[in-house]
Amino acid sequence: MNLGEVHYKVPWRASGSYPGHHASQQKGGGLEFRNHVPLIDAPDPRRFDIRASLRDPFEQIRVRVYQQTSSIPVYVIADLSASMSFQGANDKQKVLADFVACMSYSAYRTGDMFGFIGCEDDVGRPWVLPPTLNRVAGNEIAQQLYTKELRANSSESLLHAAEQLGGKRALVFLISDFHFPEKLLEKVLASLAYHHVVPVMLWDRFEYENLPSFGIARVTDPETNRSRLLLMRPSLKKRIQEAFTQRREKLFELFGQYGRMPLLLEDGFNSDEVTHYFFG
Amino acid sequence: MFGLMFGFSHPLVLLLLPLAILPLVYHGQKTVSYSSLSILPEDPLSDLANIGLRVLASLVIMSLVLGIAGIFQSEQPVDRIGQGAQTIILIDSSGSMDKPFYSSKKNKTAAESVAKFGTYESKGQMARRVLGDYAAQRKQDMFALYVFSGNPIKILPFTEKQAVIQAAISAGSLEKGLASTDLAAGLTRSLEFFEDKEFTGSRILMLVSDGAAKLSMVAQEQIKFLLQKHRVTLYWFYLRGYNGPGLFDELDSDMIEMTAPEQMVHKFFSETGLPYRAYPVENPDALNNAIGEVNKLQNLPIRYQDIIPKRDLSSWFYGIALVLLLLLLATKLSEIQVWR
Repeated sequence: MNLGEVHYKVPWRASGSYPGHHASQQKGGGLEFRNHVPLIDAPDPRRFDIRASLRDPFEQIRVRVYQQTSSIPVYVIADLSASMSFQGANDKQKVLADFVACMSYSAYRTGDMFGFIGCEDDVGRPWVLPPTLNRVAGNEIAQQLYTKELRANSSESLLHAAEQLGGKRALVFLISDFHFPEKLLEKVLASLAYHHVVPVMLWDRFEYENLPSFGIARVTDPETNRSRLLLMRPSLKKRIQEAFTQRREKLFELFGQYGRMPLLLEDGFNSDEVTHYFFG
Repeated sequence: MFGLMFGFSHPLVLLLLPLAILPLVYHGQKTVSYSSLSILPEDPLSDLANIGLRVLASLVIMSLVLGIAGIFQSEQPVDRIGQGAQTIILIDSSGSMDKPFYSSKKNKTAAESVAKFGTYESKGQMARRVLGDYAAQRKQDMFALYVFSGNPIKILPFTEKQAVIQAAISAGSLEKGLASTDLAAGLTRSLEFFEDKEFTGSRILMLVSDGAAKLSMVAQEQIKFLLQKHRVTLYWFYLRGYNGPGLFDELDSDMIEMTAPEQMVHKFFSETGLPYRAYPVENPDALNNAIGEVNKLQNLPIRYQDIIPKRDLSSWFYGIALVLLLLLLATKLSEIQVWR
């Protein structure tokens, strides 16, 4: 199955020296002119600049220095709590796995390192793939995600994800349904403040839009295992939809406070949709 | 007094009754997975439906268990108020009752002086017919029935059930009377019906007899004692025989002893000083009138106890369970299997 490729860019300069696709702070063999320096400082006669040398009042030989493009680490932090196994129009878990597969491929294609942090347990170490240029490592993770049984009963472990990120500023996709308390979300966002975080909201239209109009449903929460009887009727349906609208507004507001623009995936995974996020 | 007492034909089944807690503990419904319940808005109606369904299921189990256990309403005494009286009908079933009524025709021919069998309604048949009508009119009365000839026979203890009374009254109309008439035994024994019974209304002893009997002194004392003790009003329907002398015909004492012992009995009853009335009856109309008179006299309310037989209630409980199950079936059918 071809998931396509995501094109992405970041609005900041990468700090890494490893060449890549992104604007960097490093000097080197790029196309972007940085400044002139004396030949002594950059002993590369190929970059000799005649006009700059003639203009120099101290009659020194000036060479041009360019900025290289560097790679950045791309991380996917996945919330693997049980609620992510919801199956509506799309299987959230599959959308998540698709996302991981496609992002690892896209990172490889862009020349970036791909890392994965799966947050499933509150106490144990998260499931971590350290950033790597390995082409299949991300795909391997995705394959496991397709069939993995999601059992975690909270999303608390997202708090520990930041510890696993390296010191370099990274592009971080934080994938979750964000069905957890706002307090927790604020803490998570604060812990990831240094990085470029793209909150990916994995929602499903069957959660709030395409609801049954009539009938009796006993819905269970896979995280708490609690169930509730719903006497579905148009008025309740409308109230659920309103509740989700409010929730969405609240989340957007919270993300906004941390300077993040969320990416809402509610119709399954589509790489163009993600590309569109970066190149609006 | 009117306590609802329940019993069970298979009480051991009641051990299953705790099963009724199950629906309260576990919903037993198919569930659909949903991402997060915390976002769903509060809905009191749904919560109410939740409790209602559980209670409904619990009630189904309870009524099924009660049905299987064979619940019944045990027999119970019920106080009833009747109109009229407790009446003992004491019917003379001696052979003389099979004979026709007195004929007032004077100067009968020899052939006429003997009634021809099959051409008449006998005194007994007539009396039973009229008594049957009387009993049918007084649906709230209680009747007991005794017949006597040689030995008194207890036919029916006090009851107010018309079918039984009618059957008992008509049962004796077969015309196979014995020759002897032991009035004393009939009276004393039939009065035993009042023994140990609450005095709840007027008590009547309807003696239907043609009365050819003598009462000894001992018997007289005992009868008088019993009538007094049970406070019984005695009505004597004296069915005058085809050729018999009446109660009030003036006869000298020798003749009385010889031909009309009923006059002596009447004399004894009159002299006891107890409520007593004699109705000398010479034809069916007179009997009707006499009984009609009693009907008017005895209309005081009486209180008595009746027993309602035990009633099997299990079918009721099965019915309740069925109705509730249909309700549950309806909800089951409206259950959302797939969250769409």
